[in-house]
Amino acid sequence: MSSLFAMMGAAGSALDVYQKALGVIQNNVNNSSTPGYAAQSLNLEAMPLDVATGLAGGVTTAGLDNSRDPYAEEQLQQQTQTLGQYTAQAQSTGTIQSFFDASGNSGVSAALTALLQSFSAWSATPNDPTAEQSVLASAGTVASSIQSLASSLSQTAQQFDTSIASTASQINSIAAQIQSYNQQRLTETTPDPGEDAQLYSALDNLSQLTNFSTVTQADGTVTVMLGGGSPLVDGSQQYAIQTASSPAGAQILDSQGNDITSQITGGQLGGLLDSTNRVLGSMLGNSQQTGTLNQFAIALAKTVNGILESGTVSPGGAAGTALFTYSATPTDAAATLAVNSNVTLAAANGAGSNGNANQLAALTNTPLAQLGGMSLTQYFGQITSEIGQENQTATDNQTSQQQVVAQATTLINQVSGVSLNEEATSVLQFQSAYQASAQVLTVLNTIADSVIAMITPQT
Amino acid sequence: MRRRPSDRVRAARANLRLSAQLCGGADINDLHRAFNLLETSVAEMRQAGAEVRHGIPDDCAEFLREIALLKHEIAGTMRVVDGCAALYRGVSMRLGLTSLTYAPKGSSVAQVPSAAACELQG
Repeated sequence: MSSLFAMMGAAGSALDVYQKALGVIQNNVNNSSTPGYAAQSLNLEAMPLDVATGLAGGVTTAGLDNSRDPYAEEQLQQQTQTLGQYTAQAQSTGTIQSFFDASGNSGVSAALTALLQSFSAWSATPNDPTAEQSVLASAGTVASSIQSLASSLSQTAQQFDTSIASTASQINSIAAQIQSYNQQRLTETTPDPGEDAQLYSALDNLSQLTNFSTVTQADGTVTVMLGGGSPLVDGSQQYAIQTASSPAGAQILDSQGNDITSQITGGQLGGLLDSTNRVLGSMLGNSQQTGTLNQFAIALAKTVNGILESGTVSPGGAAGTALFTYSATPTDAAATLAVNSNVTLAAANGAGSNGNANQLAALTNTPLAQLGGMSLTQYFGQITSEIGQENQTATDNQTSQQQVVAQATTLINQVSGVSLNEEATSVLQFQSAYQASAQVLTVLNTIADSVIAMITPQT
Repeated sequence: MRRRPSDRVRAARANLRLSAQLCGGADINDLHRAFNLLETSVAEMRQAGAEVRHGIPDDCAEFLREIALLKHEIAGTMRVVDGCAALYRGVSMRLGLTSLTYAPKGSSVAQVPSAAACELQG
């Protein structure tokens, strides 16, 4: 009887193991679409078999294995960080580019062309009041166009600042989720597949927002460090980041208030910081530079004013006055450019009654030292061209990076994902094999009965 | 040395016991090996039956005792196999699976419902 009890014990143990194995399969199938879930498999161990001592053998469970590949996960996170950066750059430079008309038919380019043409017309009829009015009107249009452009770019910078603050807030929110996972993990001996899936889903989301690296500690908790090594989450401690503004541009501060902006080079946050501090900063200026748009406004105003102030009004010989006014603060030049309401246009100089007006008309092709040897038209064209190139480069990078991320995602799905076909085939194969075994056992039992029947009547 | 019918029943029981061990592991290859061992047990018992038809074995009492032990083992193994088959039948019904088919390369594949359907059923 002891053998029968041992067998029954082994049978009970086997059923228990099978229930767990089936639970794992069903969990895999149910979570096949769960973000961050890695397929699980049940490890089995043989139990000792020794009939003499009553050890009935059988199997027992030896823990769960998941199919997650840390290398593949890290690759996907890194590629996603880069994609997040390019996507943010493409969107933000696209917004900036929309304020520039590359065709030159509207905006600052068209206004500048009209002003230079009005100078030319004025030089032909220097005493014609209509030509003078045309110059004043064109100058007003140029000034308002430049002001409007500066205002649009400033508003865009504010929108980017808001987006940066919102992104930082999202990063802190995800960091709180990871901190919560770490706290839970410290209370468990083995990781829970559901919590593990949530962790990796959170890390995937974080990789869209910023660049970071992770280290899994011996106790199973995950330490998350921002690009340059500033901790974001360490064990059960979260180190929230903050945003700030400085004369140099938008800033990211760690929980101690240290500036870590230079460490944020990836993800949506990295892309937004780059567009705000580098691209917009180069146009609008900051504590380190005047800004190309301000340089353009200053060069235009100074050159035109200089020529007009050196001339005289004919007849009468009164000295000319400045056409444009602007702020003495270089970084505010474009935003404050306006037409002098008390202007006296001086068309004459020593070269004749229209000598000064001719000099203004020649500005179309005159290289200016303060613009690096470029004319006004060329310089503004270069500003337009640069932002166009920025947007094109970011868009191209985004497109190619999407392919890389798609490949990395496919790799992850192959390694860690749940294959419904495999799980279903596994279930059906087991079902068929057991049904076949049951039939053979029935045959075996029938033969045993018939052999007994052969002997029993004769004994 | 010629094997007696009781030796054949003992061999069938040994194969059956080993088969029961392999049935316990959630490994389809082990399950196939277990199935082969069961077929070997059947072959041994068929041979033992053929020999009994030609004459009652000398060790009749030993022979009957071995068969009784074999039937006990069959009953125990049957419970394991029936239980596991029922579990898998239940899971496959729950997952909405129908049957196995075979791919051109010979690997078995299954008709799988969509992930969304699985989640609804799960």
